[in-house]
Amino acid sequence: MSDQSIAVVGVHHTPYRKTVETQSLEEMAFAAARGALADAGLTIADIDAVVLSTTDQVEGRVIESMVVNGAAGGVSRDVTTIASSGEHAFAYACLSLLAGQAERVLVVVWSKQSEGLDPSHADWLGAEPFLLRRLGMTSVAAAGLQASAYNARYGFDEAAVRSLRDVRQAAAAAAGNLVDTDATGRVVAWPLTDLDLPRSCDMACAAVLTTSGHVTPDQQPAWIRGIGWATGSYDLGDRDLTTFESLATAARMALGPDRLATDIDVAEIQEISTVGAFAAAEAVGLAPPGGGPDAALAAAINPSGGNLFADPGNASGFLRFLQAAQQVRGTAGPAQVAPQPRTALAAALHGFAGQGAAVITFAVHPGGVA
Amino acid sequence: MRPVGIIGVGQTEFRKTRTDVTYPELVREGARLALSDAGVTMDDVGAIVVPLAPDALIGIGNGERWCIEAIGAQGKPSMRVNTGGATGLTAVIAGYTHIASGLFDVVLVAGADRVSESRSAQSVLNKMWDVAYERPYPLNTITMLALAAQRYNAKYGADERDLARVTVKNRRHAALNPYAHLRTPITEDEVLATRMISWPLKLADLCPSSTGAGAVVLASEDFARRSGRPVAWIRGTGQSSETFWMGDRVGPAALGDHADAEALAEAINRSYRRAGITRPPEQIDVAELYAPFSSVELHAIEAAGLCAKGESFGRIAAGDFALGAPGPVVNPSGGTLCTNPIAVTGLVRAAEVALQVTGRADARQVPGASVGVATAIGGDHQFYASMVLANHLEEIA
Repeated sequence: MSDQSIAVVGVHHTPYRKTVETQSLEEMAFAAARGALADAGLTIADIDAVVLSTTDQVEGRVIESMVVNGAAGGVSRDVTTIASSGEHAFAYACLSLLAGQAERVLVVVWSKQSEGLDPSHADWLGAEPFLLRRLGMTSVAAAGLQASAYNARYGFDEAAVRSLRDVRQAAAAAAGNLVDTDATGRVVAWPLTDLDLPRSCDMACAAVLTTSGHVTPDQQPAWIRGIGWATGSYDLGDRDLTTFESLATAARMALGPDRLATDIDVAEIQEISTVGAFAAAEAVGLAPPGGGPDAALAAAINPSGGNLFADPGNASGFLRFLQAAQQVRGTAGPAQVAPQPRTALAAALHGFAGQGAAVITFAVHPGGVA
Repeated sequence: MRPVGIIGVGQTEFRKTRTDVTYPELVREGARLALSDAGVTMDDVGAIVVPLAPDALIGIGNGERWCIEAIGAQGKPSMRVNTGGATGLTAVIAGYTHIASGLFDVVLVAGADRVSESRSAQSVLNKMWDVAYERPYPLNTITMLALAAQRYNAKYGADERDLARVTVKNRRHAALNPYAHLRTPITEDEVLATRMISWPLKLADLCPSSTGAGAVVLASEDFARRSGRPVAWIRGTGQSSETFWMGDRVGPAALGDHADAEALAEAINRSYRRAGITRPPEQIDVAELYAPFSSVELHAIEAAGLCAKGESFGRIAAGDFALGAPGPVVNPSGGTLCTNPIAVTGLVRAAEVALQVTGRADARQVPGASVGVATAIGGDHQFYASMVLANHLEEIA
């Protein structure tokens, strides 16, 4: 727990596009960074540290943050690249502020997956080479195993899956947060079809975070009230795939001992699949085990449409954080929940079947960080 | 700012290959050594930071996820840092930041690399550059730093023998370091007789591709004092970065100069300011300066303020910066020139300074060392990190 209060004061992301052909990665990152600074009413001269996040596996560059660094305003600044996930970059920016290492931090996270000839092949190379790679382990295969484990324990609720897909699609369409797909409904990792999985998109996102002493009267802060992240076993066999243990741990860490997820006004939760959405809602604490279908379909969950209909890879979890912050700031546009939420929770997952997770809680008032 | 110290250090012997362990097992070796040195277990550790540079060097995407069980970190917060060659030191800075935030008391920073496993590290590293403009030259870290060496030599009047003297000094140091990869002493003439790789750099001017692990345990002041272990206090950290484009560091509109390391100096000066270092040659006893090639050490010494620009090679020729000489000693471990496991090279710089200021560096100990600086460089000389460590929390005299 820290008594220091920190906030998100600027947010921007490039438009949801399946493929961005008219901008380079640098141009996308520059647009995101500049937009977030403008949203905060700041210029790059006000920023004393930059946090970047990249995966380096899809777009054909071995240290992608090198080329983005200048576009993100990193030259002559304190720059850290967090490579494990975009959401970790957000958490690290929070740590930098709480540590007094910086007063205003710009975080830039991106994914231009369309540059990769075969992103699924790159994903497969994330499997260790001795066993899992030979078995064909990928994020899609892992999501299928997670879904089959969930269905085996709680039963396959086909109507709930269909409803979830419809609700998310309607919200994403209303908010303009949806990209085209070639999906046809074929089974890709039993029991999941290609309609049950996130649709890949290109995007760069950025946020400006600062400490309470530097929030100006004309800024709309989303106060960060809790940070939690955890990584579970790499080996899927060591995990209970009917839930996301790392997400449950991260949520407990972010909520602290005195708050419940069910007390939160709105949540933006990354979903690795339609069935995974149910387990994620439970892991966050919005429902008991097996109660995910009802909880995930609540109006206050993923008003942006979530990531199932537009998923910018490494930036997907980070984007959930930004969407939740926007709700508390009252700047979520067509996705804005009314009345304006006073609290929000955002949850992110990464790795095979959500090996790692991060959770951030926001509020309209400051009050330290759990 | 909340004081943070290094209470445990672990490093394996570095060598070309290790076929007896997987990457997670190697990370585990380093982690266990550091935990044992600190006298703690994973139950005491609140969070983990894993340094891991390009994924392609170990042949697996997000390899940090694979090593979670091996270090017993299931369920704990962990994150990975990647700033190229600076990764290891950036990770230690990240660990420091975790604790300084007030949210954690003990953090383990643990990683490993097996650079030779990629078969051609330079082919991998060529992919750092822009696909259209700079990759086809072909740039790699050797040709890039050969250009910088040419520029330094032309600007300040150094020559190939001056570079050779750096190798001679560091090999002599590495011979005293049981963890170093290249431990055979070498003469100036022997260095000059090695084959030319990219003028003016010859084989003995270059670092090896190393395999091994390194780890440190960091702790809050309360925990560190209660531990009863020798503590290397982190007195200041600093980072900076430079333009990505090599071409932007030449010509009339240059943003930088390949001869100098201005952004490295900026990072070091930030750490000096936080530590209260105003007279580096008098206040710094030991410096572990990231320099994978002999030529890099020359401008790194100058960026650290240990002498003026263009003076370092003359000082080395006079015997300075070496074990046994008066004044600050540079790279008493043998440095990156003798051992370069990319992901943890920067971490080892901090670990070696921690050992020095706590008087635990054995045969390579700088007598009486109490204050030291560690640096690291990543990307195409683009990301820079610096850390000042001392064996006390009082004002540095």
